[in-house]
Amino acid sequence: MANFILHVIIMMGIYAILSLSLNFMLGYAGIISICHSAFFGIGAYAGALISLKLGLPFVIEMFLACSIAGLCGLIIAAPTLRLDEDYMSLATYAFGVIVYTVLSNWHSLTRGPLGLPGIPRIEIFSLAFDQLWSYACLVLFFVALTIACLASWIRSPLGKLLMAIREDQVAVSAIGKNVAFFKILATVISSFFAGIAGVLLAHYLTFIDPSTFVIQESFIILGMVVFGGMGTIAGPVAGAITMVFIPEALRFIGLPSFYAAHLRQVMFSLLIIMILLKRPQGLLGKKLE
Amino acid sequence: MYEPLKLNQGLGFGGGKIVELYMFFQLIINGLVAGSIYALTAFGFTIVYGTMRFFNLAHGSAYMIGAYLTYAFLTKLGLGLPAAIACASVSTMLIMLAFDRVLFQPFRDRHAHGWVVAICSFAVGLLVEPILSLIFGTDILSIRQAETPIRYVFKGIMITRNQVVVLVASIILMILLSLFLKRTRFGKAMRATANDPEMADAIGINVNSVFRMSMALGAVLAGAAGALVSLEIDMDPMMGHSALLKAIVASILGGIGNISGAMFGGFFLGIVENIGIWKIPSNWKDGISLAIMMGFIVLKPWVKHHR
Amino acid sequence: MKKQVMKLIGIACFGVVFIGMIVESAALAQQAYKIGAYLPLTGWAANYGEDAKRGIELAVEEVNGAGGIRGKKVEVLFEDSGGNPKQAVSAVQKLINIDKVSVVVGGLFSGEALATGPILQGSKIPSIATQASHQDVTKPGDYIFRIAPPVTMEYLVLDYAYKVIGARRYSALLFSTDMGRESAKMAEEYFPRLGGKIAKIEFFPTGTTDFKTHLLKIKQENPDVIEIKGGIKEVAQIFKQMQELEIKLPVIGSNMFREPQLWELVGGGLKGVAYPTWAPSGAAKTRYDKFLAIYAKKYGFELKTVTPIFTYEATKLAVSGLEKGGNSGPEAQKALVTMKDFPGITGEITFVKGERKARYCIEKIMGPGVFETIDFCTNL
Repeated sequence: MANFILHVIIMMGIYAILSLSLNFMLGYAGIISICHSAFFGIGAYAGALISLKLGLPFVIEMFLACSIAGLCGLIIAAPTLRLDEDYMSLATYAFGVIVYTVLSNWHSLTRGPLGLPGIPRIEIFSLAFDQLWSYACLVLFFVALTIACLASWIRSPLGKLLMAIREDQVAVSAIGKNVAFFKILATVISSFFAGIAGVLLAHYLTFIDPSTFVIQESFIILGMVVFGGMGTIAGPVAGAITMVFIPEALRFIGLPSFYAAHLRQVMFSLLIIMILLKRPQGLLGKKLE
Repeated sequence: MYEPLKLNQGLGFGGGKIVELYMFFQLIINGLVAGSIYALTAFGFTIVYGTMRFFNLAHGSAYMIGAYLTYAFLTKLGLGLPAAIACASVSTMLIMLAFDRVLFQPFRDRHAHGWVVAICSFAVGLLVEPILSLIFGTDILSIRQAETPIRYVFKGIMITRNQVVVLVASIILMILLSLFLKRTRFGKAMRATANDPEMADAIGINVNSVFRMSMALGAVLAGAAGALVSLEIDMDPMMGHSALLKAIVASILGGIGNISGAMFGGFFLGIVENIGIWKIPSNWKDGISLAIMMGFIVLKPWVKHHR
Repeated sequence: MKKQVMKLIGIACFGVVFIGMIVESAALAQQAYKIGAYLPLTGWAANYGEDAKRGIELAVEEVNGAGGIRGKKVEVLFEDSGGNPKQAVSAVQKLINIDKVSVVVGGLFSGEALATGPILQGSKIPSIATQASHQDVTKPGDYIFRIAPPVTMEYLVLDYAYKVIGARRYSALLFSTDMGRESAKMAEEYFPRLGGKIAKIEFFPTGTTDFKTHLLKIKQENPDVIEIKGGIKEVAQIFKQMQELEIKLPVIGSNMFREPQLWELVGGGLKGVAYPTWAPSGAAKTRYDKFLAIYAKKYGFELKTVTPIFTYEATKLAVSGLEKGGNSGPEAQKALVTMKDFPGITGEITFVKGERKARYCIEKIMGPGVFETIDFCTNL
């Protein structure tokens, strides 16, 4: 029983990191992104490949994988900066699908649909994290790290600048700040942290394939941010916790087994819709004017 | 019963270049047929996005509902094919209007953030799939007949009767709708709202009815696209996803919010996909169209800037 | 401040309800014989999952009707894997840790089997995978079994194409999954060795609906045989479009062609398609026919896909393991490992390193549900 709870905690933690990182660029800096599944996937694949092919120590692997994810953030951010909101969202959507297509088809690197099996468990200074409870601790450590880093950046002058950019870009550039640079910075930070979640997932499942990183994942992550409350720190965490919790909890409700799985999906979607209707600002979001 | 097919048998051509040319035209035809469905779906998506700035992630569900209702009307109610398609399209419109009234409208009234409504529509998409599975089952359904299709061949280039129906019906629908948008008063009101909602409101246009009409039109087009496509392919509860993706890509290729552009975007997408995979390994098909789309998006402002 | 307190109370209630449900489930978990099944009940493979479920339920009904295991009933708990590795892991975690099952049946697809293998091995719960075809499925250890036909059946059908059909130019239209890719690799390596040539191999991503360009590319290379592998929906489309393009070629493929629903969707065009499949003979064939009959009787329609055949067999195997070994993971595993000639419906089952040996022959489709076994066989 405890094992199942630990499993749920691990998944909540991974998605909390994802939601927090998306919220950083979307909720605070106001940069539209529907391609978080891409950074998630790239982090996961990079981590998996590094540990499978190069066998580097975990800390280095994590740093490298996240940097690669951050690099991808740079790649998508740079050319799309000047686009207006509509184009930007669709461009990031396209990027998300392109990354998925590349992961599925670049066989020599990713083995495409065959996926990467046998990803080793994590070992730091010969401490093996192969038990559920130790892995949960590891994940929670990274959640705390993410919250600490992002929260401190948000409260710093950088954070205030990003929020100002979100409200009025033109004014900010009028006072001489390089808006483009800061937007790219926010994206890179966001994708870097999304990479952390990817690496953690890869080592947890020990097998990844492109199907885990389809574009719909981006909407689910966005859903967690929106549902939990954009522009707050606790919001995305609450969103991740609830949206991971609800499907798992629904497994426990006894339903006629013929329809059970479908009814669960119906109930999940209805719950999301109803809660959003009652609180469009999200669970912990600030009320709208 | 099976003889190996000799490519030049009965075509009266030599080999080489002429074969390539015949292939090229055949691919264009395939592309136009596929493209007509993309165009129809994209048209619907763009009407909604252009007028309401609403990223309707349930658009793929409307497409799916159109297909499934056609199946239901055809097999359970015994309607003729044209009637089934028409009824399915109209029913889809009514269903989406109901969703709009109950679910999306309240968000608009409260001036909620754009992404909140989008996520709500995503949840609607998540909702429709299991409901269809519960009603129709998860099996793959088909309304196509298993016998040999009627085909028209011209100089070796071939098109089936169903394909002609799809192509012609889509084009007619799109022409009708374009006329509606350009000529009628309501159509003009819609275009005004798309251009500048606040100004439209200020000059007395009932923005709410414009929004409702946009949702209705978007849904009826998606439903019609789904209904027509069911003539060509079999349906399952996951078919909405790729329909949505194509609609988005085609809309971008045509220019966001540019409704007639979306049509051309759809046809262009269909042709590019088919010609593209002629030379490039087929599994990169989605990647090709997306890369082109990215190119468009990124280069467009640059081009505008340097004009 | 009050709002925050209310929210915290709300979350606390959530937690209490959740824990309560878990405790209750765990309490009920103690009695009876329990088998867990993780299946894609929703998502892209829902039609397979649903049919697989029917096979399992049929097996359990039969077992309990005959008195269960020493008078005690056998219960199967189903969890939705969604057909993807992430959800499958959640499903299996629940089955093992909350429902406390002793054996797990599932693994229709490689992704879910690969992700759940290490967990099942580590928790010492035997897992009987049905159709997952990736070679690493049984790698995690001696708790993982598989009754699927191995991909090496491909060599049999390539032999058949070369020697019996007389094909010399091989073409293929395959789905871009591990199964499709493995198949292509094997063909590229083996067919030239026989003396033939590879004319064209085309891949398509799952979910493709328009194959005309792929077919035209293949047609242009003048092959004399085409191998087709894909999901039911895709294969149906391929045949219809082959008809439209007037491509008449001998078709070979995998035993996926046995899927009864395929004939419904394609019709006469399927006649003559050849593929390798298990060839139950003698006592196994009788059991197999009996299974078809009771399936049709219970559900009112013929088999929709071939998945119930394997899940039925896997369930019966699981029951046998529990019966002969004992009501716990390790005991059941011991029984399965030492299982000899278990009376399955696809043949007699003996496990060697988690894989089973069987006899496979080429079969041809002659009509709806009418198959002709060709005497071209091998033991794998």
